[in-house]
Amino acid sequence: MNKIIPEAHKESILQALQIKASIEEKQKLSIGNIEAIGKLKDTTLEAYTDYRNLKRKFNMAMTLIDMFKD
Amino acid sequence: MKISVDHVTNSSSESFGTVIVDSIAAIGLAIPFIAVTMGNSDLNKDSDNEETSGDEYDYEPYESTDPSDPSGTIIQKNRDGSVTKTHPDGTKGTKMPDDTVYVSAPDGTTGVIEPDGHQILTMPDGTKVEHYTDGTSYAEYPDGTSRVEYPDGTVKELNPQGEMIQVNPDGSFMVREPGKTTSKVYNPEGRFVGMSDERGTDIKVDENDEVKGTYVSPSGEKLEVTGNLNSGLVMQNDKGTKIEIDEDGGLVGAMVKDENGYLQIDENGAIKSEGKNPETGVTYTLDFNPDKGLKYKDSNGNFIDVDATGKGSARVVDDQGTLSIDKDGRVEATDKEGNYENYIPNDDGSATWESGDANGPKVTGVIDKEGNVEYTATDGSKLKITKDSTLTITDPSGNETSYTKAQIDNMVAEQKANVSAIDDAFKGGK
Repeated sequence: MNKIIPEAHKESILQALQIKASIEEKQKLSIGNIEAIGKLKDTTLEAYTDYRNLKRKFNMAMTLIDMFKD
Repeated sequence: MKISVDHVTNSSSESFGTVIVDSIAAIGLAIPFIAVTMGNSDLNKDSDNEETSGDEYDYEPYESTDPSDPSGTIIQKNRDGSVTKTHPDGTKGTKMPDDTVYVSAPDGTTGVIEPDGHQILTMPDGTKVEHYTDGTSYAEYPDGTSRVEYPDGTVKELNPQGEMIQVNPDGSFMVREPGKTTSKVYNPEGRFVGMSDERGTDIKVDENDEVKGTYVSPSGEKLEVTGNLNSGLVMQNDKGTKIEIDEDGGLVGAMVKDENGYLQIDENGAIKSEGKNPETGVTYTLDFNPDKGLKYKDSNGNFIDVDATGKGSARVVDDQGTLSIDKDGRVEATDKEGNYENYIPNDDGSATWESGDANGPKVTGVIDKEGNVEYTATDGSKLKITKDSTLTITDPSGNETSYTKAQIDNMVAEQKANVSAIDDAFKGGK
């Protein structure tokens, strides 16, 4: 059934969606999620030039190696 | 495709308005070629003697007197000084006083030939063609493919997917895959013989699959490549970087080094790295093992110490603020304005979530073991969001309204469309 959502509720709904997303994100970190933790690492290390440079050099070499594999 | 029109000559025996379309047999799509000559401009000199008729154009159509063209070509002198020749098959050429020629053919081909010989043509199917005076030809096809043919016989073609193919005069060819900057090189027989790019990469593969050469990365770093496609390759430089792969392309090991640090990866994907930011002086160490977890720390006091599942403790400060996780799973996030969110696990498997600012908490909620969220908004409404995204709002008066995920998704989509429309209106320059 198509229900028209009153304007007053729309804002509450949008806020609820944001809160739900935020809670779920924190929950992942709390219970342990290596992927979520890994993203923290990248966020932190992005600020550090040398790791980023080293990783980029490695990725470029692996891109070339991929071409040999085809 | 070949269309040829019998050319006619004027009284001074110059060819005029010849239109020949011929396809060049080459690999892939051929660039149609139109050769048009409009002869000399002697005919224009007669325009001074034309009688004005009061019509839009002064013209004196007449049959060609060339006995080799009994069907006749109509010559039309126009008021603006141009001369148009219409051939029996319908091809037409109009020569302007500045010697620019406009051509058209019954099949819909149109074009312009500039006085220096540069041609710009549009074929009936929409293909755009240019022939330059140095002998280079360029075509752009309706499907987005573009093709260049050089005077020496080299042909380059770029397809809509971003793949570039270059065929050399000797029959060898190069293929550059979408997204890549280095091309694979093949001999005329189709054997893979190496790689090259515009940065100077030059790698050769011989008939025994032995590999040797230099790879130049987009940042200008050089790596020497040696090995055999059937047993493995090594890429290294004289600064301590060395990357080894086996015959299946699997990583045997990698050490990437520069003056500020190193990054080491083994065949299991374990990573060790130490380094220093030359601009800020901040140092870091990183130790990741897929089976044991991640340990990271830096000289700013940031750290991550978690097991293979991601459980552990961390403190990370970035441009968005500070995030900390303790060994009990308590998560605290604070932004630079002092707004915070805390997630606190409870003994019964539920968790408490709290959001606030420098003045204290604003919204407090609970997430139960099943993943359902309940909280009280600042206006006193209670909201409950189930794990499957059904939402119930109970206002301060106790009135309860529920919405399904589908209804909410539709509402969100509508909101996004409205925001997009407003953005477009602003971009319109208002």
